[in-house]
Amino acid sequence: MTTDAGDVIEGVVLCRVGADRLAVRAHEVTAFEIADAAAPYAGRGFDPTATSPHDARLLRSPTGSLAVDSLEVHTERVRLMPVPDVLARAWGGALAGFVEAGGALWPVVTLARLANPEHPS
Amino acid sequence: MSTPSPLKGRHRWLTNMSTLAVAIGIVLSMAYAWVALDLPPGTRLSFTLILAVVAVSSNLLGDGFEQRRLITLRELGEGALPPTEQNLVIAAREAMAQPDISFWLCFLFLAVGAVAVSVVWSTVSGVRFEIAARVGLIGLVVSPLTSTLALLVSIPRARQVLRELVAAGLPVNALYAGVPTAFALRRRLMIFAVIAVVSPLALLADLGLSRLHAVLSALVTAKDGVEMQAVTDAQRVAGLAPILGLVVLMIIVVSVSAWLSGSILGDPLKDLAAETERLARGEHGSPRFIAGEYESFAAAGAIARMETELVDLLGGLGLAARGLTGATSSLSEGQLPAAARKAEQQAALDATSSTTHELARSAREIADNAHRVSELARQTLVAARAGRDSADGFLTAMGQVRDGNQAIADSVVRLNKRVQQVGRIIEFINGIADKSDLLALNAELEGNKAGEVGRGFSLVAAEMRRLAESVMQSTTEIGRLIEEIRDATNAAVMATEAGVKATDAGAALAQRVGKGLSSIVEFANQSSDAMQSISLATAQQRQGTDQLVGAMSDILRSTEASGAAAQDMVAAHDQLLTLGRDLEHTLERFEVKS
Repeated sequence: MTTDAGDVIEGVVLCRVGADRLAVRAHEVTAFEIADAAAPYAGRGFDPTATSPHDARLLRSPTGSLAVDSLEVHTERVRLMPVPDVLARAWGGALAGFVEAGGALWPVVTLARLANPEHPS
Repeated sequence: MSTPSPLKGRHRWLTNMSTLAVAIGIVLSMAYAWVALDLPPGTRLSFTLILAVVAVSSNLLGDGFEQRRLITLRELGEGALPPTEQNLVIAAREAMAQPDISFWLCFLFLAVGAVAVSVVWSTVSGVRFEIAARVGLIGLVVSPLTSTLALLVSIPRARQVLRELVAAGLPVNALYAGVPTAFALRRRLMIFAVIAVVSPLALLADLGLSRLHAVLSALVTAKDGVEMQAVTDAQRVAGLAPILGLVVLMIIVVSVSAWLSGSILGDPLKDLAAETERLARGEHGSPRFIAGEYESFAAAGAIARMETELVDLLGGLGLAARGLTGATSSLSEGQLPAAARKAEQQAALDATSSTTHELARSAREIADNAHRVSELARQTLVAARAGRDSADGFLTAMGQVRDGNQAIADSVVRLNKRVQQVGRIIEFINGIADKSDLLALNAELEGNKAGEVGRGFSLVAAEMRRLAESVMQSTTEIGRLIEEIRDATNAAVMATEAGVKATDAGAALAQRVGKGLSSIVEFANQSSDAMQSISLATAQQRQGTDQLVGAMSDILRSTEASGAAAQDMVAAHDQLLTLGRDLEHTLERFEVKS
């Protein structure tokens, strides 16, 4: 399964962080666990002072993990809408695009890139 | 102004002597009658006139007949005919026949004239029959003698006319060839002898009998012995003179005739003797005309032809002798000393023999090489035939390969279609696996939400996710393999198509190769046949050269053996040279005048 910009993604994990939301490709997720306090919390990306709640869920992948407030699995096939390169690099290369699910746009992040972000040259 | 022909008037000149002979005969007969016959008084004038008329008439008739027989000679003399060889030959025939014609004309006209005179005289003058009959008898007796005289006096003139015809341009050989020869000399002489004997005897007998009859008549009519003695004495004195005169006249006539006959016979023989003597002296030239008649004319013609042939023979013999002498002289001058010549000939033959041996050795080598080349040509033919068969097999194999490639291409196409179907199935499976993964992920998530109760559910879900992921990995691997298979099959399709094209090109090439090999086989077959012919020819040549070597050896031996023969030939050549010079000296004795 490919997840390049403009491609179709077979299933995404829709994650909510506070009032914000993001999506992860389903096949990047290897396991769901209960997040601890040391787990990287996705909410800091939106608010540097935010802290993870106690019932936060940890998305584990072979290259990294990310804690979110809640999540659900969207099993439908969705189309990945591309983003400009400037915006993708502003996210450290982790922003793959947007998908539409449940009547809202969800930014799709790559866990492997999120753990090792690109630095602008 | 044209020169008159020398033959002019010769036709009349030729017959004048016969007229003279007739006149002599008539005079002789008249004299005899005057003496021997006791012509009745008063009849002598009439007898003389009748005799003259008959004689003139006979002479005119005879002369006219003779002139008609000499018409060609007359026209030649008058210039009415050109003096061609044909006309001259005809004139010669006329002249040659003239003496015989004169003889028979004289005999005929004298005999008939005598009878006519006796009849006319008896009728006109009333002379007794026995007297007139005696006149006719005298004419019949005198006519052969007169005819013979006419013949004998005509022959010299005929000879003179023939000489003039030769002088006028008649070739001697043409004269002898154109005038028929009559071998009648023996018969003529017999007739002349009979005439010369019988005619005088007949006249003498007539005279004697007439005198005896007169004496007996006087004696019978005498009255007494004295008168009988007187008659006897008178007859003795008076009768002897006419008889003696007649005898003398007959002797003269017979002697003249005999002299003329001897001259006519002797002159040609004398001329023939002189001509033969001239030929014996070696004086040869154009044949000369020898006038003659009968056998002498034939002998003269034979001598003339002999002289002509002899001149030709001597000319050819002289040329041959000169050629022989010249050839032998040249041969003698060209002769090398015998020893040196033999040595040179021996050296030349040795060199020729060596060359022949070398030629034979070369011929054997050529024959061996030709045989080897022929064998190679045969092997080439076999190889070419094998190559042609291989090309045919290759062409068949190429066809089979093409069919195989086409079948492979069809199979690969079908396989590609199957692979595509498998790919679609794998995609379907992969979709199911994705869906299962998401469902398992969702189930794991829901199990986590359920807490401790859902742990087992989450584990099962997680296990299902691993299975789904394994399936997806497998399908991904299968998809990759299918892609590889698809690429491989595409490559195989392209390869088989290229193989089909290559096999087509190979088949076409193999077909051209097969045709080329067929041509090569044909050429090789022809080459093999030609080489076999060459091999056979060279083998025959080798046999020929071997035979040549043998022949050269024989020649060498023969040359060695012919050395002595060459010496003998040189000696014979010297003898031949001497013989040729002797022949030339001998031929110099014969003087050939052109």
